[in-house]
Amino acid sequence: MLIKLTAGTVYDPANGVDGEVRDIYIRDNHIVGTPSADEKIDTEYDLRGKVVMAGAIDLHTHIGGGKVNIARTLLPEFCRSEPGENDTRPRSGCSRATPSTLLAGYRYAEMGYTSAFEPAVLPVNARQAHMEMADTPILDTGGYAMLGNDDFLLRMLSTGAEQQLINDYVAWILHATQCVGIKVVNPGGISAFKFNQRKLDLDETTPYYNVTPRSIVSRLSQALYELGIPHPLHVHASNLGVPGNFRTTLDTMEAAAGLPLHLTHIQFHSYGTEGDHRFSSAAAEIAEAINANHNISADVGQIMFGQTVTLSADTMHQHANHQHAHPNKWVCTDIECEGGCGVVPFRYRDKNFVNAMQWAIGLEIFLMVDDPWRVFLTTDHPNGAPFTSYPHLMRLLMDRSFREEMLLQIHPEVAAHSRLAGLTREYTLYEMAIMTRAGPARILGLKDRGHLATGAVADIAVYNVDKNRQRMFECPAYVFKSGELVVRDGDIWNVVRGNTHVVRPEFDSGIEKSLSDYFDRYHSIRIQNFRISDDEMANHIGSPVMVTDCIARSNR
Amino acid sequence: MDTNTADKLHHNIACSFCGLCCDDLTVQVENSQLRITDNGCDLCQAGFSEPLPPTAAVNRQPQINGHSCSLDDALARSAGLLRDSRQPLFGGLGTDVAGARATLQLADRIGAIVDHMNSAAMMRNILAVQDSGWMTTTLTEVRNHVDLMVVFGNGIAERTPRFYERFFNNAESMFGHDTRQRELVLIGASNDNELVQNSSRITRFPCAPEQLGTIAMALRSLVNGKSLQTENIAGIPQSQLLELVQRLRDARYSVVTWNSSELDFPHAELTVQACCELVKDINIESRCSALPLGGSNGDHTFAQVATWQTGYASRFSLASRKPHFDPLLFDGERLLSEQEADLLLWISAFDTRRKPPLSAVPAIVLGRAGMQCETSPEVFIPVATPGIDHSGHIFRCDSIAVLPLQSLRASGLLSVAAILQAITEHL
Repeated sequence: MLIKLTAGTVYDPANGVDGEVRDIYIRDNHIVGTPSADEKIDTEYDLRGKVVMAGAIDLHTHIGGGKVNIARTLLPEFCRSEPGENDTRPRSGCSRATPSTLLAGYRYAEMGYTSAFEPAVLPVNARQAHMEMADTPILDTGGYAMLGNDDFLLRMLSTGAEQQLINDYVAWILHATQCVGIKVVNPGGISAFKFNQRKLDLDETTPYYNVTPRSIVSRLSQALYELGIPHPLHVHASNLGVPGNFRTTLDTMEAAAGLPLHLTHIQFHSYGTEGDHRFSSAAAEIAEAINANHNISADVGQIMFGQTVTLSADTMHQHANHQHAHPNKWVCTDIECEGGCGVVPFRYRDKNFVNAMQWAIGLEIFLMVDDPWRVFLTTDHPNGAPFTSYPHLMRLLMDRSFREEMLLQIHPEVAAHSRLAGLTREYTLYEMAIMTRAGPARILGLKDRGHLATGAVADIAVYNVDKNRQRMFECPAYVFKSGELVVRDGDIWNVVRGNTHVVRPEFDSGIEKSLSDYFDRYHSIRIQNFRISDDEMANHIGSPVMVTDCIARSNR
Repeated sequence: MDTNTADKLHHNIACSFCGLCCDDLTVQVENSQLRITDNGCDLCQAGFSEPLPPTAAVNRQPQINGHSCSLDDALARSAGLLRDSRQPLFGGLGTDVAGARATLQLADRIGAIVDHMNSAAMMRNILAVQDSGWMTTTLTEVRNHVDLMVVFGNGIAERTPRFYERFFNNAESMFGHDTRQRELVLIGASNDNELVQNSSRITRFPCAPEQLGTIAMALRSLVNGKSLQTENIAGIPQSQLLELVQRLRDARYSVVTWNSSELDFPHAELTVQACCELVKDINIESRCSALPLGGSNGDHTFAQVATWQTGYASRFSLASRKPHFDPLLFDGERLLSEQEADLLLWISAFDTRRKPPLSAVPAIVLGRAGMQCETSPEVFIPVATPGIDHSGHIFRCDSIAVLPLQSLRASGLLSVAAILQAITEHL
């Protein structure tokens, strides 16, 4: 099967292509070079006047695992009020903030997304996360396994284990859970909450283990560096949502000591304490630090006004925030001496000063971080807003007058207390393609995604040009997944199944012996039943693995 | 799973016959007959060792109206009935993850109502969560953290037999606690004290199941510093409840548990809610978690898969191209007795005793081989049992761990997923 995409205007930042009119050829699943004149083109799409980009990649979106099911169970009203109605979708579904898995796949594809990564996979719950992602059609997926509140790691740190042993454990977890990266959430804090501690700063020690969050971040980022895992440690920093937390965020950057570190939903970690409300924007300080430290990347976690639900492993802060629950009901769960889960529904109000500031802070970070390769477009779905609000967010970033119009509609003090009104930057299509395609692919180490050169997997989104960028990005003319046309005029055309990105770092399998003994003594399942095999992924869970290379490095 | 083929011993096998899903079993297989040789309990032994009927037995054959037929005829007849049905009900739903996925795919295609056989018990918890949420914990947390456990109800040993052995009487904890010092409070008519190693640390508050909610609410009031206007609450002196409140406050990590399947009285969800709100309020100052126990016949499994695919665990309709949940309207037993459904597809792959409710509604039954229905359904198709006849996955009662199930013998029977797929192809 040979497909020709004719004369589209191509934005392919990974290959330096900025709005050039080009033809693209797809043979089966991949992009190929210009075929010889005697080869027959099976299908041709005339893309004159249309914008062509690689399929978009969301590197942080909560689409799989037990926490989303807890939220669905807690909030049947989300389903009731937001049924999925679209006759071109083969399966039914419901809800925007907690979409059923099938609907999530359709809606992502309908915006031109072809890959999405679940950032909070609890190792013990990894099977469920992969099952849910396997039931999210069209998208390729991947997960970041959560460490840093698990007894085994904290125990190793508290007894001064050598870095090599920590590396082996991290690598073993990546293999056993079929994940592509490691995330740490409120390092040590989720564990501390189980000992009834309600707050943990970066340099405080955890109960029982006596280790600091700083040491957890530093040892884990060292492990990922030495193992050669492409994606840096994905950090949900301490003190989420706490006014004044920008200092913790800056200190967390420092904890990496120059090693690569990704700070996730950084908007929630960029708060100062100035002004009458004792709540202010520290976006400038955070953006300045990102600009100055090239080892740091961040996704924003933009909030949008309206009803959503926050779900996080950070039980310490979710429990502290439960009085803000709207509607007034919430769930917190301690999980397997490994982690936790807190689900608190929330409604961001544009006339509420704090919520309106959160909105402005997120946009300030987008606009003040200079390098679009190191800042990523997320709403921390669904914590800041459902992922379906991405096209609206793109318009806010690409259209200054629209942004200023919106600023006038929210809490009146925000314009005075934020720099947003003075920020004239408008993201270009090229920059948007970096932030949503080339950038995420690069930081995840995916060599054949996020770009349109020969050899890339043919994940391609084609948009009709529209000055209203929201309209443009919410309704692609065509979307191809691995060379198959899956969306036409914004509607599902054909459904394909995705695969799972994983990494396979090398490690000393001697660690399995101590782990096996540890599982038998303390855990509720056997190590043999904890590990997920490739056969299980392909034949039972339903999402075969694709391995991204790791190149191990020696200690610095 | 490790398999020693010489003597047909399988190690580290997971059990699907109660919500604990213990995965440390050793199973011996001889001529298709299974026996647990290590770590079994009565429920698990019964589930694994139920004999497979001989190949020629009628309840190992597909049947139409009680007469043996070819599988293809049974599939075609099933597809015909489903095609002609105006309001099909998918009930039973005792199956694994793959079976649940196949069930939902077919239900979505033909617009069926979906209700698991254990929905009544499931709904008691779900309605409480939908109304006010909860704070819960999971089995490994309990095993390592608990120092005070409060059991509401008739005890947990009968329905989750190895709970105390594995999660309360365990020899050591991660944190070096002396597990023999753990305290147990039994509220209700429990006999669980026989199973606890140090009976001097047990406190009992006998009461009827209907009084559990009153006691939980009284405890909650006392936790919040309210005074009660009565000396006795469900026959228990207030002073004793105050003492318990103090113990809950002082505990390092207390756990409150119940099994919703035994709370079989009207509006028992309010009892569950009272327990949940008690737990939440203790957490204002100290740590306490709920641990809803129970589960059988793949109920947690079906609930999880259905929730991620449709938004709802059970008692929903897919008739209108969008999931529609109604815990009263879509109660399967009610739909059958009122004949509001015109066809029942009943699935019970784990338990031959869980047969379709007697009703005038015609039924297609996918039953564990050996199931003997009281009246012959329109179609009976014997199915393989997950974790015995084929591999698969099952969710534990805390809905966190998903255990892999193994194929332990070659019975030649097809899985629920395979049969539903084949029926779909006949549609």
